[in-house]
Amino acid sequence: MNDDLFAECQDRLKRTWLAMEEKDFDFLLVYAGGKREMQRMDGVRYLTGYSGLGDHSLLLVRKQEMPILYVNPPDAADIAKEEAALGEVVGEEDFVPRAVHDLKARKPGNGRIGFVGQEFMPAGLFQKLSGQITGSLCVDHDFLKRVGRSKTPWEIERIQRAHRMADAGFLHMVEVAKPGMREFELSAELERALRMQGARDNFGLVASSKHNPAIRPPTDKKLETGDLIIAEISPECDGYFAQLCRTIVLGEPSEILREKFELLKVALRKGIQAARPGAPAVEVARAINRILEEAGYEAYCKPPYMRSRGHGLGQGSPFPGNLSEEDGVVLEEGMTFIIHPNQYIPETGYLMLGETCEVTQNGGKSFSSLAQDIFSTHGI
Amino acid sequence: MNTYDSVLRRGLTSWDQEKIPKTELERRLDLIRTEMKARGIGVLIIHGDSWKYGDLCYATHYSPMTREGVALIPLEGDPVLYLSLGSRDIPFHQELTWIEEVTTLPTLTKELAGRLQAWGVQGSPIGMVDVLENMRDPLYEAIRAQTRGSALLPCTEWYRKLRLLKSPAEIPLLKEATGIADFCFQEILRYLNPGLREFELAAQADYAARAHGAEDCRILLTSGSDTDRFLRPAGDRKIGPGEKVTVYLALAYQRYWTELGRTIVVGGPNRQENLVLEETTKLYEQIVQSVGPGQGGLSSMAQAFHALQAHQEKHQAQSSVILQGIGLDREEDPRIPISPTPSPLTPGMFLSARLTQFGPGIGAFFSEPLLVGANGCEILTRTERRLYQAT
Repeated sequence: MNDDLFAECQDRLKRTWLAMEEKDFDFLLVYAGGKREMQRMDGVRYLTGYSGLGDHSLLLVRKQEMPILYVNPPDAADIAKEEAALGEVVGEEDFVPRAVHDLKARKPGNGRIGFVGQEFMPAGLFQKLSGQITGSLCVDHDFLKRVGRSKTPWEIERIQRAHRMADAGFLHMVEVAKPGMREFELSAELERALRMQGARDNFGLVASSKHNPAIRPPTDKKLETGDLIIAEISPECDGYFAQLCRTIVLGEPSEILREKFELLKVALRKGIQAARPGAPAVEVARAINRILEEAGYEAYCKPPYMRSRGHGLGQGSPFPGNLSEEDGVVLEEGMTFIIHPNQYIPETGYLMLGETCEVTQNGGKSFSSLAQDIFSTHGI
Repeated sequence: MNTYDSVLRRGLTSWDQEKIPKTELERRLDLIRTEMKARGIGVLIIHGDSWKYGDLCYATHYSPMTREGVALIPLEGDPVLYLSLGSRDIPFHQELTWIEEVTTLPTLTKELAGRLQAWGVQGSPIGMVDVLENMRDPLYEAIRAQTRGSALLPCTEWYRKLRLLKSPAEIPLLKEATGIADFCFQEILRYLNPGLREFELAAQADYAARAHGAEDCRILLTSGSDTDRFLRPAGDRKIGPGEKVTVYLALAYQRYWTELGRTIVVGGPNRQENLVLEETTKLYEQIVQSVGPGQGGLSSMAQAFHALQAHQEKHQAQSSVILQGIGLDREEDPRIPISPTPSPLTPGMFLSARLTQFGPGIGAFFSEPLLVGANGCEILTRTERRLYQAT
């Protein structure tokens, strides 16, 4: 644990207490497992800094008091004590009785207990916990998403660092990709490049074909001249992810490929410009879709070809929301999104272009230093 | 071992049908259905996720790359696999399983009642494997709402017994995986130098695994005085001369996990503590050699336990030894602590023998996979059981 993280977690805890007041919660229970997913926010990590090496962790937050962190298995407590910036750490094989005891000792009575993370909690564990708690358990999936929807400078710095890793990792791929190499070998090169910079994890997909139907994990397919290599690269720095989407052509891009990729370039610029405070997220999606629809690809802007034009990014991808025609989130300064007009085009297959941006008064501010273009092993 | 589980399993993603043929999977389905029939179960719901996929994978050969999957196995009729993926991703993932009908997870609860009716098993008991243990509560509740009138029976215990002994098709894969782990360890020795940061060393080992076809790789790499307290993921600490490094390396190849753990001393003077570590290594050797089936194995494991106790007392070390099942899950049944009266072992079990030791200056870790045979254990790793020195 370092001083920066301590100050950051203190600030988050204060904001959590305020949000508890608003929701009239006397206590807040936050669950997180050791399972990591881009699509979920680890509330325990957000509030304490503990990266969740054990099977389960539960945080008891009390207003104006330090929280208590329960972890399982017991030996995870040693690492939790090292990592967690705030509060007492309890390691027990079955932490439910202890957590329930601590909660009762603070006399919740019939008070309201907010519960975050139920959507990820194993059924058996949830039944056990909820069956023993007295008081009104109020499941609130979005509680911490609201608290953490805009990023602090500390968080922005982590996302920027992660993006620098992604940019460098991608350039390494461009450098080493060659015909005859297998997809999983190229993916291993990318992983090493990211990890050598300190990335602890990566949501990474690498696929190749002369006509990719979609992005997917790497296989043992050999790269061939003329292949399009599509990559989604999402390294993690201190729990924060950035994402980069790019396309590499193994050889010289064809005219038709350049022409179609131009659509993605314009769409990305329009999407980034639309990412302003006060704008609904749907405006970003529409700005991107408009370019592709005008070019005749309206049918390909919908499922099963496309779902959204980006999503929140930072500590996972679920908040503040998706950049889709269905999402109701309104953009605020400091929110961070991956904006990606990735697109299946019948003439070229699936093309990828996207990068992580921060919402600012002047529109989206990209964290990538790379050209917003198709890359070639023969140069841009 | 608590590792930092990744958000996505992203190594080589394929199904090598020569290694795990369809006939092996048909054999498993027959075993599952025999048990279902004996218990009067009409349909079995099997859950798995990218974190713990062994139960799901045993029946389907599919391991979720991220999030989760659910298989429905009817007593009669074709199984169905539901995956938490978008519909455009289904065609690729269909190639990774022998189950012919693969669809998206949200359709599960919509069509479950209809499926039960079509299979003629509505009202019959429904078995659950890895559901209460690991399935998200909202998904479980949605399934429960669709199966009113049927008893939901926990079946994880008997199901996991089916996975306890490895088949002739599985053993070569476990050996191949262990061969990759051996190579990774050699790469660690090759790169380990004073001044290198822990994460840089882990990056090289991770690369070696993935470049050789590993689906996933987990590494705990601890250096310096931290080795005396715990094993943890690599940090940014610089490794100093004369320091110790403890390594736990687990990798999955074609769905199967193996692991290897060793303690390395980085150059520098040969300290007094290293003599204790040499003794620890010998103790580990004795434990590995004691692992065997039946009563003979039990008595030699009891001897190994007493040797461990004597070692703990002599050096005031916190040492523990466990025999941990490994295979489709990084940790699976059985879990047998070394004790005066350990559970008997059966030929075909694939176990990792782990020795963990903490204490001032004497932190150490050793692990390796063992295949229990008719006359003792087969040692699969080519990595010697000794205290390594890197210069």
